Amino acid sequence: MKRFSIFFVSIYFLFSFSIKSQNSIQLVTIGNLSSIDIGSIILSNSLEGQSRFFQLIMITQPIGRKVYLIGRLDWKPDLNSSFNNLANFKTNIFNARNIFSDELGNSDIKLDNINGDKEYFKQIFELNKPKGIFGISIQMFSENGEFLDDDYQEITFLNPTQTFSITQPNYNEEVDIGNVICSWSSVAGATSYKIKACVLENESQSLEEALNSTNPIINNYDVGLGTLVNLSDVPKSREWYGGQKIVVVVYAIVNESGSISELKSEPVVFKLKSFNNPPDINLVRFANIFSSIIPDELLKKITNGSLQLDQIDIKDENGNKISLDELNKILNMLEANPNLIINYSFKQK
Amino acid sequence: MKIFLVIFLIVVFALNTSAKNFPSSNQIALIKKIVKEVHVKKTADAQIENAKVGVSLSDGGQVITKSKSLAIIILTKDKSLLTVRENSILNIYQRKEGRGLNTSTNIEKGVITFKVEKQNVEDGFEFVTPSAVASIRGTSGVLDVDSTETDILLEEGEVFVQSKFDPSKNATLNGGKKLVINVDGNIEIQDLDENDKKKIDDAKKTNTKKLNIITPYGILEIEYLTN
Repeated sequence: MKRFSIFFVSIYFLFSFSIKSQNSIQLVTIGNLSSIDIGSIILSNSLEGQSRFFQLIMITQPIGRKVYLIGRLDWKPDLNSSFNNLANFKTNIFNARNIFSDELGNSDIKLDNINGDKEYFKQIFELNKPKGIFGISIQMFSENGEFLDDDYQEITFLNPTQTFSITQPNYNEEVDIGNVICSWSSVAGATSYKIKACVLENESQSLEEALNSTNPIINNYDVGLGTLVNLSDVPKSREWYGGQKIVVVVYAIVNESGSISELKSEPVVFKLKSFNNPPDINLVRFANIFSSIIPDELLKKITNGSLQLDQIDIKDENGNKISLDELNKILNMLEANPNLIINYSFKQK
Repeated sequence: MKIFLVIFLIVVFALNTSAKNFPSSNQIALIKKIVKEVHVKKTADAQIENAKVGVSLSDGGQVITKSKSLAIIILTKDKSLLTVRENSILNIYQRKEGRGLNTSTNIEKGVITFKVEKQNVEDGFEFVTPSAVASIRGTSGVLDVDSTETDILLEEGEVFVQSKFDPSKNATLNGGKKLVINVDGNIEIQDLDENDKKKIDDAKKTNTKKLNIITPYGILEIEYLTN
């Protein structure tokens, strides 16, 4: 009996060793990890444009054996924290071969089952960039569910550099009011980009305070998938004018495992430059209230300072001139109560 | 002479009886002011037509205001004023009841500013909305009505409000307060806040003024409401 047991255990170890040696999976990190963007860690089907950040080297007997993978992604924000489960996934059955991380879900290898803690994903998205330590565990099974091999790697992103950023205009750059080109780096998996721009009211105001103001100039304008737009042509909720400092931020909208996340760029501040006299502040207020009816050409002339108050006559219904004080009172009232405007028209000369 | 007196009394009695509980055939109100696009039905059976200043409304008359429009109507009985703000529909009815006149304005939707003069003891004045019946004896304020809710912002006076479907749900509203009643008869009363006061103030703006901005490139003409 004792001999039989020893024989049985020996056969078992030999068999296990032979399976292991003939079927293996190895997880190898590749590429420049500092350039990995947040979209690359998203586990989802049909996400294009992700960066490759690991490779799975699979050796099976026979070659190209039908297998499936079960994976687990854990994350901790720093060395002193403990891991939290970020996502678990299972692939469909496919022919074993060497694959890159971006092929998971984007080739014949589909992710059949994905689950995980969306709150942690949200936290990572708010960091803008992969940060902390990711633990990736991969198990390979035969199509019959026989365990073949596994591997585990930890990938550390401790000093990430900002990769989703506004590339134009530059910080504190002076730009022509009629041609404010804004561009930004693309984000893998982004389905669209939105832009928000607000006036930086004074030097003591922080960029975030400016962005949280209640009346942005550009309010989450949807650019689509492009990564460049002329802000001068974007619809504005009120006009801007030469001399103003503007804070701009771009949001990448990313569909992550069925839920929408927003990835925010670092804000950039720039100054509007006008070649004319500074615009008349009363006319700009006026233009803001009536921007929907004033022709674009006239709006530009008001906001770039080429049309000044002394070139304009303001009269009441009886043809009497209206003073600047009276105009301001009327503007105050109409600004606070736009519903009091019952009729307006512009007759071009 | 005696026979003449008897005939006179019979005629007076007959006229009084025939008038009782029948609609008044006289005009109830006049259109005092119009801004932009307002339509009226002079009586319940009349066709809808463009409103003109001076047009009279009889029992079943209707006022319809379009966007950015308003109409001011004055009740001929006591010179009470109703301002029908934009996108509103108001129907007006008047019936003799006993020795009094009961005036009822049915508001389907919209905003109505009212300044109702103090009513005689035998007279009555009420607003009927999809959710409430508000009886008024002399007061001013604003009614904001939609199909599910009625807001009454009362500047001064007193209003007795009851649910249109369950009169047991009722409340008395005093000046400086706001009442909200919905179709289920739920009633909330609170003090007028700054927004409510602004709403009352805006609703009183019925004069129109124009602003002409003459630039080298064209003329911008703006018409706006003011006090």
